[in-house]
Amino acid sequence: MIEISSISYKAGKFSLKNISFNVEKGENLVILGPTGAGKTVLLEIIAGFREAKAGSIKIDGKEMARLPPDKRKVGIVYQDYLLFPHLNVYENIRYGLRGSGLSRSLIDSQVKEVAKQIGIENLLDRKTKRLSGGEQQRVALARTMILKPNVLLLDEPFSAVDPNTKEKLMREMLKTLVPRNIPVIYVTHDQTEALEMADRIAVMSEGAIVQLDTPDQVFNAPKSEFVANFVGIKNILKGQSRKENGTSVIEIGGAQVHSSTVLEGDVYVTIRPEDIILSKQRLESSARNSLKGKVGSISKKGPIIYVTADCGFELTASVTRQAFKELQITVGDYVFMTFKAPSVNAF
Amino acid sequence: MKRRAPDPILVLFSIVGALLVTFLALPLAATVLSENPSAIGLALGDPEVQSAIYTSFGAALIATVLSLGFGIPLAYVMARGRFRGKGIVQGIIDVPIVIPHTIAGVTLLVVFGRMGLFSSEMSALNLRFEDELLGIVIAMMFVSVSFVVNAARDGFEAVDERLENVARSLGATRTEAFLTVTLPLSLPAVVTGAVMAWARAVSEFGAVVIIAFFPKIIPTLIYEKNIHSGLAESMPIAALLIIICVGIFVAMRTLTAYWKRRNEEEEAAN
Repeated sequence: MIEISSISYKAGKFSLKNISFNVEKGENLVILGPTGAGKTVLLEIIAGFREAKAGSIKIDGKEMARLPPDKRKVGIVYQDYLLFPHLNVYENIRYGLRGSGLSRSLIDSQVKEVAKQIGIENLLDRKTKRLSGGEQQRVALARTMILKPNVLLLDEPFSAVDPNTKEKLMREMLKTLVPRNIPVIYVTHDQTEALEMADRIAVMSEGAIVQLDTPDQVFNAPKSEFVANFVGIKNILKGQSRKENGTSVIEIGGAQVHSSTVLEGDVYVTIRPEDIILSKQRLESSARNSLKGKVGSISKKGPIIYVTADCGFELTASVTRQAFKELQITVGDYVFMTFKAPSVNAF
Repeated sequence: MKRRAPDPILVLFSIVGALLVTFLALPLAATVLSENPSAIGLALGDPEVQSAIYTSFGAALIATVLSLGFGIPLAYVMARGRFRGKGIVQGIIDVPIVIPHTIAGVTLLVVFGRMGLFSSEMSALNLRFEDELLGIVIAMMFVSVSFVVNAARDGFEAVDERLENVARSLGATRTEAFLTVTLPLSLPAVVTGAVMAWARAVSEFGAVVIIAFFPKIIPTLIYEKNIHSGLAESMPIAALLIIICVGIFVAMRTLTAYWKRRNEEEEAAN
């Protein structure tokens, strides 16, 4: 368990103010915030690369705040992985055991074991330059995990991965790559990533934690306008998913939604407002979802107008001012909301 | 397939470049070629010349090793440190490149001479620089150490500081992180700096001759022969030094090119 209390830090104009939180063994805490909020600085303070002005960092009851990074047993994986370019994959993973006093054969078997766990045993004699982002990430993780750290810090682990493989990597990260027996602190600016990875979320803004809660609370009961605006994903829904013909049918409220993400059981669903087509008559189209609902509210934000209707659950669509004018919708009207199955993101 | 006509700008640049290369090579080639090979052989056999060659190359080597020993730590501080007066320190590092080298020699005498700032400490330690190998070494070091510091600093700066962070989180002390990550990654830059510094040291005359006329290095010997006996005596030695220096440099360039190519091939093979 890691206990962080009253950490403060200053560098030029930037400062961290009175940061406190605990992370239990096996818990994933996501630090969510916009660029410049101080997320990476906070990780570097926990790792010991920067020294906090005040505050305490306890890992398993032991005070770490004044120890150098090499004495902390805190593993860190940076967003650009930072593999040692002059060493190959095997040598990168072995780096932390250099000078451990272990025999060469013991080191060899440990490197191979961790490589196998993480699924990179076939990459061991490769140079690091030719690895894909996902492969580099695994090597960086193996290099850290071989030392069995007491805390794992992940700095925007998916920001350098292309969006198509991101989804798959996130799932693997949760299921197999990240150890279940230590606290994991995970930094991101991406709301859906946070929602997917977190047991709890700490929302950060301008060097302070503005809300620390379960994902449910953060997204559905934001405590401040900043959190509401920043996490502002509209259409975050909870539902029950079952497989059907290679896709999913998800029960949300009283309604059914088709998704191309195949999952079973309790799921979160997000649908981007701009992916929803709004119409007064039912549309004949290839889109799998078309729900009828009564307009409950209309809000204007610059050139975009959000129309929220009750389709058994609240669903918000965004339309341009021009389109809104032509549709002539008012509160209380019945509308159809049409969207394709791939637009329904479930996790 | 017909080959494309060469780009006119490339042709022009090649002609201008060829003129420059001729300007550099012609005096050297003329000196060497106009000399009777037997005279060069004779010069090589002369104990005075041999001793000057050893002194020149030996002192330059010692100066380079000292420059590395002091220059690498300074370069690391300059690359990683944030402190007041950094610009002034960098200015001081660059000074030897700017000032005329006879002036460098005079300033060294002011500090290390028999009547210099540390004369009492030096005599207590029985340390002498004037007309000693040590004097040649410090003169060479003074004019060449900037190359080591600047090249190494550029090399260290090019290594992401966060790589050191990662190494430290993997249990390495700052020293270990420097020795196992930063230094290996900046080795090509450090080696280039050392080669430049050594070359600069070998070619130094002005600073050396003011602090130590003896033991004679090759430039001093040539200067003396030229004053006393004219070109006939100085030219064979000059030709000899040109041959040796060009030989060493061509060998060094070939070696580093080979080193680089091998690294690239290794990468391509992966």
